[in-house]
Parts: sequence; C-alpha cells; structure tokens
Amino acid sequence: MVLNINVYQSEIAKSVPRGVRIAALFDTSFGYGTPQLELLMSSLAHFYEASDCVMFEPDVKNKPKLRTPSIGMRIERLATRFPPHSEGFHVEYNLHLMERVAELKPRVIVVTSAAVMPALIKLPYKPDLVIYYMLESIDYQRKMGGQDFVNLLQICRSKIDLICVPEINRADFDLRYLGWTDMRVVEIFNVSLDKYMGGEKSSEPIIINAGSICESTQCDYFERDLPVNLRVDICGIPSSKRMVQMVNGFRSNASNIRYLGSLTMEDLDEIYNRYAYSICMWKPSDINQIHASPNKLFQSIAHGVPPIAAPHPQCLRVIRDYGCGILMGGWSFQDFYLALERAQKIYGTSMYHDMIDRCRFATENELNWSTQFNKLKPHLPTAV
Amino acid sequence: MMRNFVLCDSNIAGTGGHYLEYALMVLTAAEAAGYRPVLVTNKVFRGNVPAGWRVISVFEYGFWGHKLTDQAKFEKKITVADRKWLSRKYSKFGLLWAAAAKLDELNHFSGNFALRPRTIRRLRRVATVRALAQQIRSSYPIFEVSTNGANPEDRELFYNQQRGMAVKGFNLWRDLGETCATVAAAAGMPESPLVKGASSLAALAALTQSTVKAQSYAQALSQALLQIPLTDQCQVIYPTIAYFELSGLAEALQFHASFRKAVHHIVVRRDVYTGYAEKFDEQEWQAHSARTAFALLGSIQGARLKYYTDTAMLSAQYNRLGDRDFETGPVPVDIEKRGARRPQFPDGNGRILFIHEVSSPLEGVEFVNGLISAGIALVGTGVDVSIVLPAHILRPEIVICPPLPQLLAVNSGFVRVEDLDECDVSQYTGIVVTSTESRFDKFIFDALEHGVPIQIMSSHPLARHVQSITSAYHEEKMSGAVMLAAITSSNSGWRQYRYVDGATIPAKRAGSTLMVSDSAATVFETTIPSEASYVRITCRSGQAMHLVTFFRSSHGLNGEISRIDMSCGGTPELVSMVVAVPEGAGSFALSLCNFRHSFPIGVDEFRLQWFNSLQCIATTPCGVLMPSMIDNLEHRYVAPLCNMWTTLDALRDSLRLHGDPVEFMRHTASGERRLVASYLGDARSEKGYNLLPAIVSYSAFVGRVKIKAQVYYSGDYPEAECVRATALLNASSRDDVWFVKGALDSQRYAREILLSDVILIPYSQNNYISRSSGIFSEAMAAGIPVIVPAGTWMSAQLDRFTYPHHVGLVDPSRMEAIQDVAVFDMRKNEISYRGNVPYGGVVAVQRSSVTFFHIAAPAEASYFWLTYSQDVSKAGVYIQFDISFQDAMTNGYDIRKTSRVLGGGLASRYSVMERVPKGCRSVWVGIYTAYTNSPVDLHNFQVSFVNESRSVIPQTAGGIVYQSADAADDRAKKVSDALAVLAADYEAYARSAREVQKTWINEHSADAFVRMIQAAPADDINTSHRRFHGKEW
Repeated sequence: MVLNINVYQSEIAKSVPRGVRIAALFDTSFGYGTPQLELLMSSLAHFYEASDCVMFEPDVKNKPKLRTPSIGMRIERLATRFPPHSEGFHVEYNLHLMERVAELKPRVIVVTSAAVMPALIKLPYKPDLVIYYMLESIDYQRKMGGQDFVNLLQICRSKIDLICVPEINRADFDLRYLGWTDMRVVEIFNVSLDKYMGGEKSSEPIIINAGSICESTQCDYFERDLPVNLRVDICGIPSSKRMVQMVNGFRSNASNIRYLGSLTMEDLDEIYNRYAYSICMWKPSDINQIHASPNKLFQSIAHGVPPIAAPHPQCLRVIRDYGCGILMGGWSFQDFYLALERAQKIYGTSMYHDMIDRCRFATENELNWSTQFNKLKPHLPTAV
Repeated sequence: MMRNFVLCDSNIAGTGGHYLEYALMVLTAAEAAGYRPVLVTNKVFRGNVPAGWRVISVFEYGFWGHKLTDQAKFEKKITVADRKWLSRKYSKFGLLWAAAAKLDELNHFSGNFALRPRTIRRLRRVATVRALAQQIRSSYPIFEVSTNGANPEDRELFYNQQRGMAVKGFNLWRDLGETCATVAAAAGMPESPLVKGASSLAALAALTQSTVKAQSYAQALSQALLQIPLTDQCQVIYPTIAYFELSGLAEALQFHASFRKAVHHIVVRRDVYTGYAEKFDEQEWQAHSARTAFALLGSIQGARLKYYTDTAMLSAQYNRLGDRDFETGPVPVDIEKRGARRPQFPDGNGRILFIHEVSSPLEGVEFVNGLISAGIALVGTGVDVSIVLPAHILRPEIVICPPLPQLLAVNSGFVRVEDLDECDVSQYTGIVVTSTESRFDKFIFDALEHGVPIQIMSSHPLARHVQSITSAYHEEKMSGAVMLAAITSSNSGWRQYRYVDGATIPAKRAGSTLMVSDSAATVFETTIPSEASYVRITCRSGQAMHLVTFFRSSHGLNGEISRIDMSCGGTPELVSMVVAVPEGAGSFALSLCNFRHSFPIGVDEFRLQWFNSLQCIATTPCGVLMPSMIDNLEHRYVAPLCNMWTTLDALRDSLRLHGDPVEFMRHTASGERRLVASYLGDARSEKGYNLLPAIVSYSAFVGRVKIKAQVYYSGDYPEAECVRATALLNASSRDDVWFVKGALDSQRYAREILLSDVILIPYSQNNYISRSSGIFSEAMAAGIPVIVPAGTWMSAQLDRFTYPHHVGLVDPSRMEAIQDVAVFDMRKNEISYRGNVPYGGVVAVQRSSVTFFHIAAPAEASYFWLTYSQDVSKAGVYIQFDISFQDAMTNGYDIRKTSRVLGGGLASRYSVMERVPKGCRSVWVGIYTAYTNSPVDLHNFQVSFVNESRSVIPQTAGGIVYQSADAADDRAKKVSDALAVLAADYEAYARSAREVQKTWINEHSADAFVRMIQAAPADDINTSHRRFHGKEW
C-alpha cells in the first residue's frame, strides 16, 4: 500500500525565519551517486534564503575527489582517525559532528541515516525543521550498524518532522517495520537534472550500460549470447574477479561489447545522449534491489536515451506513464534478450522517435528536480 | 469449580492469521461444551476475542524462535535509558571503547601521528577491560536482541546487555589488578589462539539461545497458568509447539505441581521425517532429538499429557518415535459461521462513485460533459466520476487534453484501473460501474459486501443474478399490498407507434402473445388509479427487448415527470419491474421496443398491476440495472442514477436479504464472468506465492480465470522472491489479478474464501507430503474446488472422495467393462508380456519397470475409467498413470497425453477418470509407483469405457490434483494447466466440491476436536506402560 501523505496533518512549526542556517549531515562523501542531496540542500537554501548552507561529510576512502559545491553552499569534510565505516569511525565522526553542528546552530537540518543521528539527538536545541532523507533501507542500516542503528532511528523519531524517500514501495516496508506509519512521507524521485539534454543519435543503435559492473546489476548477462549485431558500451568499475575477466574479454576487436572504463559523471554526461538506449536493471535479490530507485533511469531519460528497464516498480511506473522506454517482462535473461531485440527492431522508426519525444516530455513535466522539490514544498514550514 | 479450557499459542500475535483462527474455532467449541475459554498468546497480540473470554498475553518468542515485532504504538520520546546510553556511547570513553575493538586498525590508520599520552593510557585500560569483557561474553553467550527498537523496554534490554558486559570486564580488571588483568586480557585479544579457537563456542551460543527461549517460554507459561485455577477437569491445549517450547513446558510442569492437575494436549503439525515413508529409516539421526524430547516430557511424574497430529500421515511419523500414541485430530473449520455475511450498510458520504472506462482522454472529457448536460449534477448530493484510461494511454496525451470538467457536485478525474486498488467503496453511498469488463467486478463485489447499492449494465454477467431474483423479491415485498387494477396483453389499448412516420396502428398479436416489431414501439397508455403507489410490470420474452415506462403530469402537461428504461428478456425467466408512482403523476405510458432483432419478438404473460403498499420497493433488488440497448446518456446513466437515489432505502433494504456477493458469485460462475482463483494466506515461496506471476501469465491465455492474491508478508521482512512476485503481479492487468492487501481478520478471511470460485494451493509438494493445510480444509468446508499438489495429504483427501463421486455419476448401463487386459512390463525399452488380467484382477506395480497395457477404445466412448484398491500396508505409496489417447490401435499417433498420480492410503478405492478425446481409437496406459520404490499390488483392477455425453465427470472430486514439479516454472505451468481443466468444466467440479462439503464439515469441526480432547484416554495416561523413559540433566 502506498502511503498517502495527504492524510497527515502538519505538525511542523508554522514558519522558519528567512536567512536561517541549514545543514546536511551525511555519512559518506558527496558527489558519488547521490546528487539529489546536494540539489535538495540547494533548493532548501534557496527556499529559506539561507545565510549559510553546510554539508558535512566524512573523509571516505576511495572517494578522494573534493567536490566543489554549488554557489551559496559549503562542504565541510571531517577528518577522523578511523576511516569510514567502522564502529570507531561512527563514534568519532559523531563526536566531531556534534561539536560542529552545535557551533553552527542550524535551524533546518537534513539527516540521511542512523549513522549521523547521534549528532542530531545531542543538539541542545530543537531545530525548526528536521528532514530525514531516507536514502538507505533499514535492512542496509542494520547491516552497517547493527541494532544500535535501529535503536538510534527510534530514539530520533520525535526529532524528525518529515521523511523524504526516493521510492515509496521500499519505504513502505521500512516504515511499517519501524512502526512509523503515522509520519509524513514525500517521495522524491532520484532525478538529478533540471532540463532535457537530448542529442544527435548515431545511425547504429548503441546501448550504454553505465554504473557498477557486478552480478547484482545483472551484468553477467553480457557474458551470454546477445542478439546478433547488438552493440553495447559498458562503463563503470567491475566489482568482482568474474566481472574483471568479463570486461577484459570485451577488449578484443571481435566483441560487439566495448568497455569504456570508469567515467566521471561529467565524462558520462558528455557522451550519454549519443546512445540509443541505456540499461537499467538490478538483480531482484532483496527488497532494496527490487524496489530500486535508479539515478540512471532518470539520467537516461533526461538525456533523451530511452531506458531498457527491468520491471522494478518505479521504472515500471515511469515507463508505463510516459512510454519513454522499453520495459522488460521480468528479470530473466530471456526477458532481457527479448527487450534488446525489440530495441533493435524499433530503432530509427517513428516509434523510437516518439519515445525520445516522450523522454523530453517526461523530463520537462515531471522528471526534473524543480518538479520534485515542488512535491516537498507544501510540507515545508513557510519562510518568513 | 469452573472448568477452564486453556489454549496456549505463542504464534498468536497481531490481529489475524491462521493461528488465531484455529484458537477461535477451538475455544468457541470448548465454550459450547461448557468450558471457560482462556487464550494465552504472544505478548504482541492485539486481536479481538469474543466477550467473556480471558486473554493472557505472555510469550516473547514465536514458533520459529523469533521475537515477534511489536506493532503497538509507543510514545515517541527519548527515555532516560536512551540518554544514558547515548552519553556513554558518544563520549570520549565510548570512542576509546569502540577503538579498543580495532586496535590494529587504529594503529594502522594513525600511522605515526601519535595519540596523546593521557589518551593512550586510558586506551590501554579500556582495551584491557574490553578484551576481558569480550572473553566473558564468549564464555557466557547471551541472546542477541534484534527488534525494531520501537519498544523502549527492548532498547533498555539491549543497553543493559552492552553495559553488563563492560561492567563485568571492569570488575574483573579491578579484581585482578592492572598487571594480571593485562596478561589475562591478552588471551582475549583478536590475534590470540584462544580467541581463534573460540569459534567452537558457537555451539555453546546456540545452546544458550535455545535455553534462553525455553526459559522465556517456561516463565511466560507459568505466569499465565498460575493465574488460572487448574483442576483435573481443565484442559490445556498447545495447537502448535516448537521443541524449545516443549522444553519450557517440561520445566513448567516439573516445577509447578498444580499444572499437572490439568490434562495437557500437545498438537504437532510439522514433520519429524521428510519425504515418503521408505526414506524414514535413514533419518533416525535427525529424529533423535524429537524422540528424546517426547521421552523427557513424558517422564515428568504425574503429568497428564496427550498427543495429537492432524493428519494420519503425521501420526504415523510420530508413532514411529515409539513412546505414546499420537491420535489424529481434525483440521478444525467453521467457515460457514465465521464467513456469515455481516455488511455494515454504511450511509456513505452521500456521494456516488461512478466508474467509466474510455479509450482516450478526449472521450473522457466528452463523456463527463455529456453527463453534466444530461443533468448528473442534479442527482443526489454529488458524484465522483473516475474516468478509467487504458494502460496504453500515456501521460503526455492526458496533459495535452483539455481538463475534465469539474462542478461542485461532479468531481471527475482520470485514473488507471490499478489506481483504484486502494479505493474504499464503503465510504460511498452508491457505486456505478458502466463497464461489463471483469476488471471492474471487484468494485461491484466490494460494494455488495459492504451493503452499498450498485448500478451496473443489464448486460453485465452479474446482472443475471439480479434479474433471476427480482420476481421473487417483488412477490415478497408485495405481500399485503392492496391490488387496485391489472392490465394484460389482451387489453385493447395496446398500439404500435411506427418509427418511420410516427403513425399509430393497432398492436399485433399471435394468440395471446404480444408481437413487438422492430420497426415500431408497442405502447400502452393509461391513467393511474388514484390510490396507486406502485406499478408492477411482468412478462416473459425469449428475446432481449427494451422497455420504457413514462409517468406524465396530472395537470394535463405533456412533459414526462419520470422515465425508466430497462433492457430485459432473453431468458426463460419472468421479467419483473416495479416502479413507484411519482408525486403528481396523472398518466402512465409503457413502450416495448425491439432494437436487437429484425423480426417481431413475442411477449407472453404480460401483466401490469397497480397496487398500494407502504413498503419501500426497488425496481430491482440490490441495485439498478442500466439499459444496454440505448446510447442516450440521460436514459442510460443519469435516469437510473435518479432511480437509485429515489429508491435508496428500498435498495439498502433489499441488500440485507439478497445482496450477498457470495450468492452473486455462485449463480454466475458458469456464465461470462471470469472465475476467481484465490491465493490466500502468507505470501511465502514455500506456499507458492512466488509462482503466481507465471500462473497468471498462463491463466491469461486461458482467459476464463483471474487470480485473487492476498499480499501479506507475515515476517518483518518478506522473502525477496515474494516481493518480486508482487512487483510482477502489480504490473499485470487487473483483468487477470486482484489484490487483497494486508492481514485479514477472522471474518474477512472467511469471506475472502467464500468469495472465491477456486482456491489455489500451489504448495511445494515436499513440505506437504504429510502436513495438513488450513486453507485446504476451509475450502473443502466451503464447498469450493481446490487445486492441490499430487503426492500430498491434500491430494490423498481428494482421492478419498473421488471413487464414490464417480460411481454416483456413471450410469452402469452406459459403461463397457474391459474383461481382459493384456499387461506388459517395460524396463529400459525391453518389453515382456506378463499375462492377461481379468476384470477385477490384480496388477503388480513397481517403479523400476513400467507396467502397461494398450486397448482399443470404442468409438462412442467419452470417458476412460480405471479403478483399483491398494494394499493397506502400502498406505504412503502413490501410483502414477501415464495415459496416451491414440488415433489407431496399430501405429497410432498420440491425440492427447496425460499423467495422473493417485494414492496416499486414505481411499478404500481409487478412480482414474479421463475424458476420451475425439478420434481416439486406442488407449495406452503405463503404470508405476511415483516417488517411492516400494512395489505394490493394485487389487480389483477394473478398466472400463463410459459413454456419458449428458454430463461432465470431473477427474477428481473437489478439485484438481496437479503433478508436482521441483522447478518453479514447471510447477506454475502444472498449476495453470490444472486451472484450465477446472475452468473448462467448472460446474462439474463445483458440484463435486459441494458434494464433499458436508462430509468434510462433519469430520473437521472444532466440536469434534473438543469431543476428542474430552474423551477419556484409552489407558490411564498416568500409569500406562511407557517404552521410553528419560531424565533431564
């Protein structure tokens, strides 16, 4: 059952002064897969005409690139003796966060997981607005922090005013499990662009598969016989020996599959819209993966590249509503194969061009950040 | 002294579920037998029980040893314990404590950037204390808390566990002194061989956890039973019990003499052995713990214990343990009582839900505009119009379309049919469904279930039931009415109004039959008797026609003040229509129109009666039927809606007696309506929930069935494959899938069973060889056909009823017995002649070779019938029959091949009945034992052909047995094929299920179970000789 946000009465303070300080407490580094948090902070800063907007992040190994924040925003990276994500790091990072947040005294706070909740609980005052941007499932958080993290969420419950989730079906399981069915929830799709960025297509249909190269994104399907003459470009980091071997095999000239290596978001943005289709699928091995909320689905649509997607409920909803991609019948290789065949068949036809037009329409009408933030606005205390 | 009947079940939690169902049935029967019911449940139980029952909620863990999640609402606050924990954990001490667990990492990541001296001093001490605490924890494993953390008590327990270990470590450190402690702690450091060896302590941890749970059960049970005065007249029943619970029960009985006064009845419903009996010998190691458990339990001095299972196969398993006898009890059902219709008849919000399907957004806009022009805004207090768009309509088309018109009284919106899944029909005062497509039937059934009047097309399959009960309803409501005047077809006032030129000519008749031409309306006009409050029109017509009634003003004005259109006829039933005389009406006109046929249609037994009655009478009971033969929006939709509003009280009244949706289903199952095949119960892969998408896709091909799936995940987190199945089902057409979401309470669960045409039981065969199934038992008690896996207790039950059912259906004079069958053996393609078996002879069967025969089929044969009896000693053996129907006796081709598996030892005689396909000239039958290697003799073996073309003979009484398969896809296909067979001959299967129903109810009533429990044991359970004796450590 989808939670209906309209049935809940607002209990949030009626207003927040303009020019407040706002802060985001993050437990991993910005710029690696969750652009929505930065967009949310930017929009909140704009909405409240914030005098200061700070995003706190830990110093995550393998994510060394320090992202330049948007204008009007600051990123503070907190150094810790223990690197993320051990128990020692968790305590140390929160002790550090507590001090910095207490000094900053933000009136609006965005928290992203139980990992940063201690800093929120220990604040000596009640912020005007606390948004829990629930990016991670409870199951995942329990894996990361055990029962401590589940308890932390419950302790924080009274401090949270509003929950944002990228996928409502998954959130439904989590909120029911926590017994939080009376809380106000807004679904904000994982869109990351604000405008359509379509481009010229090549004469041959080339498909892109961007992102983590692993069994859990069903990349092992690329080891099997795909439709004849199908060309696929793969980019991302292979996550296992098997996947490394697979991409190494693609380096031969004989293969119709090319491995482009690991590309930055900027590099990817530059080439994305040339592709005919992109692939969005996760192995349906757990609730998280089944109810995936893929950045790349929206990224692909915004680039005018119709996605070929497995029937993850959110992918299904978007593609069915807009007709902007090809939906697989299920998660099996046979389903994947049939979808690729169909993609090949319709490439260049009016049906394909209609699909691209609908990508534009979907981006301009709903799948852009402004529209997503507008879903949140009615639930925000007004700025005075 | 009050006799208490105590039912203890730690699985009873939340608000519903099968465990609670069982308890409610048994305790209700116990109450009827003069006991005082006491229900002892899990701590988190929040359900309702009948008034006067005592509920004691004490157990912490469920059957599977999980602490059940408490969905109760707790205050959203930070407790003192929370604050203390936070202060401890998120402090410098907390940091050192966390660091102490990862000293290597700290060293590595700190490099040479040294810690301050004070910090390192403190870290050394904390690390020592933590290592000591870690050792203590390894030596004394504790039960790990895993909850949703909502209950502050759970959190506090968790904090105390954490703190307790630290305190113990600290105390040891203090007692030993720093030097000794450091040396001792070194043994507990991660790299210590002692710690590496500590993995063997995992077994100790497992034992500890089991003991913790058993202790918890013993304490909870003691706490509950100490509150209840127990005498030797009291019964305590454990309807399902885990081994750690048995251990807890043993402890409670051991320590509380008062508990030993009552008789304790232990029901086990899970297997001790897996698979079939011939494999049991090799499983004695795994059965060892069960044998010991029952031996130890039975050795408690003075304890009065009785043991039961709920299937003969399970009893056979438990009786192998060799201690006390396990009796076979029923699988209690009382579906009729629990499923009694209890509609709420809500007043509703004063609004009508109007569901209309269009093919494009523009059509939707035009339709709503048309409704508004036709005056829908003036009807009642408001209408919510849901314009349903098909799936292929994309959002861009909706966005560019002009908006749907909105008025204060008319609220319209575009939806997809799946958006209406969550629609709560009960909040409306009435519901209009204009489509006859089956995807909308759910709303009609929902409305009837709640007692909300419906408005559907007269061509809707469900309208047939309304039409069939209308005349009787009118007769019933007219008893006591004052009859004022009557008009028949012979009245001279009948005229024909010619469409082409408006000319009026005399009506045509053929004898007493009024002939209605296709080129003219047959009309009759009359004044209204002064006292008349109603007019009733009755007639009979074999052809469909359109009937219109008009009331005109008494003030000489021409205008109609009311008009009702009705499509009727086309069936042998009497058409009946009652219309209230509106205020101010002076004259009445009636028009019979033939819009469907190019020839005149006959109307017989026409009668128009004016009468006066104080009763509220509806035109048709339960709702209003919209005429399907006219397109005018006003007369097709709006005028019927006016009729619904003006007769709302009468409709609600009629719903009480005639509106049971179960009746609608039963009377329309063989019509055009899609059959509803239900999966009800927990969404678990063991129960085949994950197969539903595949079954749906196959069934969609069949086109006669839709799946009703309950989406209820009983655990905190469901199985991924079940969530995936739900995602795929959600993506399916609502023609093929309906959802019942969440947990169901007792009554709703029973209603959902009754509101089904078929109950799907796509269970894994291996898990249900011996086990019972609650839903199976309930379906049998409801007389609803089931689809069950072969080789299980369920299939054995169906086999038990099949032979008598077949005998009842076969006319011996239409049967040709084959007197002599030449039987062969085939092993690895080598064929050997075994001999001729006379009618009623014996056929030996084994798995290693196929016993087969090939016989000519008479041209007129419609069924092939094979019957036999099986050795009682081979109760658990199943026989497979591979049957091939061929077009010739020599070198014939297979026309159809099929396989059947029968057995299980519950039937005295088995019956294989297969329809002979057209063109069949011979039948080849291969026979061997399925699943097991034991050879078996088939006695009184009889082969016949039956020439029965008048009625259908089902394969199996009560449903279809599908051949189980290990692979999920194969199993889905088998279930789907079974569904197709059942759907094709639904009436025959439904009839057979109804025939079985009575016997099943008698055998499986909760009353029978309570009687069984009360019965004095065959021998004194205190003193009888026992084979096993055990003594607890």
